[in-house]
Amino acid sequence: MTKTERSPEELALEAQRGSKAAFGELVERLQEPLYNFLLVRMRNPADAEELTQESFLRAWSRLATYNPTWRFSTWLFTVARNLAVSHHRAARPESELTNEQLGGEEQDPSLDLARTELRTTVWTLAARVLSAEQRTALWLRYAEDLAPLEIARVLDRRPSSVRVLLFRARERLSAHLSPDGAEAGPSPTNIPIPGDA
Amino acid sequence: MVPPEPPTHEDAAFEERLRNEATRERRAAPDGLLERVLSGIDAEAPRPPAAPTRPLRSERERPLVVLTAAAAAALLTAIWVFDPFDFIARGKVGKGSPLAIGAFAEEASASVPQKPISSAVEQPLLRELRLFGQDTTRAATLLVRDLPGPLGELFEER
Repeated sequence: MTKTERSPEELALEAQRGSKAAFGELVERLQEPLYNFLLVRMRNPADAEELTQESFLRAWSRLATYNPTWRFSTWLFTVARNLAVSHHRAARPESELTNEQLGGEEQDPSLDLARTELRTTVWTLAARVLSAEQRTALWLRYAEDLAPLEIARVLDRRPSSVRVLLFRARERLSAHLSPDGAEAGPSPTNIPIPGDA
Repeated sequence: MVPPEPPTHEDAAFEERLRNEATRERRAAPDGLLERVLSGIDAEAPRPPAAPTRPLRSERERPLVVLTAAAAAALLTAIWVFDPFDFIARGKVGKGSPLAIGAFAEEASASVPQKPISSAVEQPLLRELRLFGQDTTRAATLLVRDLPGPLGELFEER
């Protein structure tokens, strides 16, 4: 078996024995998925980049706690998610605090920006209307193809709770999309901003 | 909590859209990230491996390790030659035989009063003995693993 054919889990085991080369290969393979995961969660490229780097360093220092019965990427996403949560708590931006407190069911003030665009991707819309946890769950499910059980591990929730989270996220997104797939105008639940017709 | 409804045709189409647009949404990782992570790893204190193979601390330790290993080997040889387990099983060793040590042990055990041992004493004692045995085996393995040459390689962690 050649070096390139080794699975991330095999590389992680080698890295657990102290191999920096194996860990470097893991970074090379997983930097793009991890960066995109954090970008969806943080909505800020600079924060996502900083946390990607920090997540890998944290993963290296805590590699001994990795259990190879789980996919390495799942464990890495868990490390990154925990760091993102700490980052949110430290920064405490007003909008994000409200977002977390209300579980993503609040009015998002950035919706006025959304209304100025005629068409948008579901993911740009998700960045505007979903909570961080909903976006994270949705991305892990549809971009990273993780099973609800694995998402539950990353988000530290029960699988049933993840299924509900995914269901509500899809429902909320659908509610903001018109039948032709374009972004719809403000829904009846969204209070229009005065002067922003 | 409202349970999710069974997926419909529209749900499946929407899920497909989420997958497709996620592929288009992906961005490349920032330039130089790999290098920064690796230099960060180099900068931090060396992380102890999960199952470390203890290196020799100094050259002064080497003779001690060799002597201890030799003593351990001698002990193992003695056990193998005298085979006390076999003796215990058979219990038929004469006083004049090379295995007189076994007979001595037999006599000594016979002189001990045959009072039954309380399980409150026996069980912890057995457990301690078992743990002691495991610790000894582990220590001996680590000791031999540190030896240079083929013997150390033989016991090297796989």
